[in-house]
Amino acid sequence: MKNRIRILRAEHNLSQASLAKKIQVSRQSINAIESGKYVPSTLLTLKMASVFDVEVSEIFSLEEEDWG
Amino acid sequence: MKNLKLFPHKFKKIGWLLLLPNLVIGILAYVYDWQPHWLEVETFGIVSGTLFSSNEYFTFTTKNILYEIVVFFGVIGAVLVGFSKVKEEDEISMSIRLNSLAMATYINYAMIILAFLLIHGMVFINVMIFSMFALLLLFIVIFHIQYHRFKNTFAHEK
Repeated sequence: MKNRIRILRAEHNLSQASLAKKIQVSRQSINAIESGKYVPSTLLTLKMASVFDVEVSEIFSLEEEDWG
Repeated sequence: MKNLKLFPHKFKKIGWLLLLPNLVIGILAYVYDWQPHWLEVETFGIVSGTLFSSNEYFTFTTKNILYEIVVFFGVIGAVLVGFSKVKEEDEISMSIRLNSLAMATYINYAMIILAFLLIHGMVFINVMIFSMFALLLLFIVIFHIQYHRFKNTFAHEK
């Protein structure tokens, strides 16, 4: 799964720490999600979408290998 | 699906304060076969019995309650350590917690099966005593290692 969190953070001028605070997770969790090591829950992705004011599909997108 | 309820973060410290002294006292008392006489009291038991007598039901017997105290507070402490929120609790810490619990269950039962096949006779009672705590202790150790590893791996913004 690909994500555009780093780009969106830059656009909104948000550090990992301030995004983490807004969606109530640890900064390390944002780092793990951003680097594709952890797939977040629907709830968390919706919170992110709400912070960035975009659709979830504009943050996360499927890759070929996700189909197994 | 509702998430597993956890104890507040401050209970973690209380858990360590209960677990560590009771674990140390329990191990020392077991190794050196030590029980202080002043803990010899009359206690109520639903079932009481020894190796050489038949079981008695709903009776009072005089016995040393050191192990009862150690197990009671030690297990409560271990549950609090394992199931209190970490400082920054979120879905990743919960996922690490549940994974660690599953991994501890695998290891715990692998050890019990091995012991069951390889240890015979009365000495097996030691395995039973050990396995009372093994799952919780394994879980606590695995969870803390995994959580610290996660924190360190993602400590620096890339």
